[in-house]
Amino acid sequence: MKRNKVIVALVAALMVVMSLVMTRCTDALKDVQITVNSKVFKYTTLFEVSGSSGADMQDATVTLSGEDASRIFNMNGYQDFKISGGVLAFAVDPNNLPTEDHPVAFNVIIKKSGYSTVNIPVEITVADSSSMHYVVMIDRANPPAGVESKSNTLKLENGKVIKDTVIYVGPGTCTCTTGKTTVGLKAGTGFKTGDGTILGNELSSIQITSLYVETSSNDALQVFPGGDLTQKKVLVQSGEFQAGTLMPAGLIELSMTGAGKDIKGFTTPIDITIRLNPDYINPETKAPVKAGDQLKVFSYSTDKGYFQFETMATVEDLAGNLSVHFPVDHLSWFMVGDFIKACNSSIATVLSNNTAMVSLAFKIKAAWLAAGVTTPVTIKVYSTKDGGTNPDLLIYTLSGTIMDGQQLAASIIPGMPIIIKVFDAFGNQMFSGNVSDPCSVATTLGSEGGGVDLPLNQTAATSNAKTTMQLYVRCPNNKNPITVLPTFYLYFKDAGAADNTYKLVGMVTNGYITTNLLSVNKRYDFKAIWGNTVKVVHDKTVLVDNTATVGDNQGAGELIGTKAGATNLEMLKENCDGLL
Amino acid sequence: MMVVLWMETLAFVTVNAQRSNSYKNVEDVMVGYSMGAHVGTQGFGLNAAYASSEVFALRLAGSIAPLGISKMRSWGKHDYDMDLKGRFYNASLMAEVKPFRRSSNSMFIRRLAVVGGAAYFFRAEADALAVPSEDYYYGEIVIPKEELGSVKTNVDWKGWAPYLGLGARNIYLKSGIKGGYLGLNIDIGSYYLRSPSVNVTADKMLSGNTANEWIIERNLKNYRWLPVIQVGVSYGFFNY
Repeated sequence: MKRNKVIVALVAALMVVMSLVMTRCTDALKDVQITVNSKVFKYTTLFEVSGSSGADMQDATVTLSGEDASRIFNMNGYQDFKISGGVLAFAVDPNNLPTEDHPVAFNVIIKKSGYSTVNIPVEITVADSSSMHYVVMIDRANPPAGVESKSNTLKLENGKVIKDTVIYVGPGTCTCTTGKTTVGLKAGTGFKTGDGTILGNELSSIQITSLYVETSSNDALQVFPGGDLTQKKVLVQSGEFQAGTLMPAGLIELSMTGAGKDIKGFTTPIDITIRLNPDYINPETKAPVKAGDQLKVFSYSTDKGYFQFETMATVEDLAGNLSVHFPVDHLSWFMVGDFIKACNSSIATVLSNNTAMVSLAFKIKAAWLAAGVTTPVTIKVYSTKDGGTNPDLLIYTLSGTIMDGQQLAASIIPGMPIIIKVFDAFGNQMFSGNVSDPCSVATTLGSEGGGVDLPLNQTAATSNAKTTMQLYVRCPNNKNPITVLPTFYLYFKDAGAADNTYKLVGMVTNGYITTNLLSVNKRYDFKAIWGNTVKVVHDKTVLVDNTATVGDNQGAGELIGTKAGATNLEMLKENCDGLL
Repeated sequence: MMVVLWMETLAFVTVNAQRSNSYKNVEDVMVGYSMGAHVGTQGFGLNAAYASSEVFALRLAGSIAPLGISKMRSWGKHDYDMDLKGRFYNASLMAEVKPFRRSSNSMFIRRLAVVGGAAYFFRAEADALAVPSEDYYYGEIVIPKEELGSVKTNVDWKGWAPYLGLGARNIYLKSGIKGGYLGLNIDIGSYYLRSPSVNVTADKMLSGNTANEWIIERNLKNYRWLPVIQVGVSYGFFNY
């Protein structure tokens, strides 16, 4: 009997031991974290905004307009747009993405006191997952080369011009009244506000501000209103909107203020004379412009955001200078030259026709780019002076980070011979070629046929060994790094170099990027832009594999920043709260 | 909980043992074939046994266990619906030895068998599917939960697994025709599975969570004991 009890006790003990063994198992989901991908957006576009004088533009006011503006958010998912670190990032609502027959179109309006307002039309197609734009805001007190800013005060009597007056706009300085760019106001001319109200006695003087742009300079034409010379929406002579390319022979902006109000119009049209670029090739005659040629005058209102036809003007030879003059009854930008409609000019008004949109597809051939490696490039499209290989005006710019085999698309197909050049992040040329008839290579995105092959040469700047960067983030109080990592833009410059030399490495997706822009063992400064947050890391040596963990355990080599550690820790906690 | 269950089982066994005086004498001469069915933690199935002597028997069994539960779990601020499914299908061959068959006067201990053998788990896996149970807010953007994706985890123990346990055999229930015998079988033991392989897949906006795979694999490295608590009935064609 005693032995039976022992056996029963042993059986019971065995059960207890087995249960203990089994209940010692670790929680299967211990330390497991499920987080939502930080790369919420499939389509983003990046604006690098700089002032012509190099000033920081972060206090500029940014507003969006246009039919798809409501579909645009900042990288944090809010419709509040600010320039951070010289960068303005926009993202398309992930619930309302562009389609092949309906790209996302909106206008970006950037204003800052003392600077010329810009209004940039943006179009994001299905192929433009991460396009880029470069915007130069003209500092009226310190304009870029080829752009002249002048300010004149004109005394009035009873709100009217006292005597016939000619205001000199440019170029340079001159006491002349003919042959150069001038504005003529007749005696008795009165001034109107935006709502048509004629200002009276309260107007004792007006301030006339002008910008003169040297249209022979592609650098100066960076300030061209609306961005590129090739624009989607231009109101042409027939009264319809067409897409196409504006070919400026002369360009000015005029604005006036008085009695604390913006002046928008006149009781008597004012006379504008614009001196022409003497080297201008008249697209209509395909010969240098000459007296007697007919040119088109367009105006551009930053409020409307598009050019509209004003009048035809005859070229005159005034004191050895080719000029045109024309009357206007409002103030804005004025361009004289020509407009060449695009092959697909109807896309100005036809957004959705249930067919895949035709575009000029650039097919990147860069087998030297290792798998997964991206590099930023800029594709520049020029008009030709002679229909051949001699570039003239820069009519279209397309920037983005590319991989071998990628296609980039110009949604507006220039209706004229073009020259295409591709440059790396440092401005080194990677490709040059011409297309005599872009209309003939128009294609739908992803199609095998059509398009323009761009076999890119590897430049010295893109010949570095492949380097990878992997950033982990460990949230405070968590044992392991979070599994979903941040997506952000990363810039670099040589350690200690000027801030305006930062170049884009690319978009760091889920904490990872591979590039060949960086030299191993070289020291760089890095700037990361995550949403509206800008973080700078100075003087870091790059290795082939660069791995770092952001966290609060500096003893374990984690990074929290050396200059503002406490602030960074709060930011880390805040962002972790959002992620987890 | 498991311990309580086992102790209850033990108590049941003990109670049955105390009723041993009501057993027929024929129980003590159990040599021959039997067939039965069982249900327990490894599912349900059928078995067939051959007792070559009153001490030793071989038992061939097949079991299937389709399991499934749903629950909600939170990670951080977000709730997820989790569907857990397990499928354990095995065929086993066990040797049963009744070491006290001839030496104990307790009817229960006389029926106590040490059971050892192995099973081939031609399916032994657990799947966990986690899907967000609510929409996700990123700034002012609402992303419907259906667009967020899912995280799927598969844990696989497929393969051979040894077994060791204790069983009580042929506790009398009822006599059958032509000398047949309906008996109750009880098993308590455990398989020792091979180290599991873990595969985590995720899609859409949860795609980055596959990095959890190594964490789950680490957590599950000791999940190799598959406990068996099982009852069954068998009908014996005994030669007595």
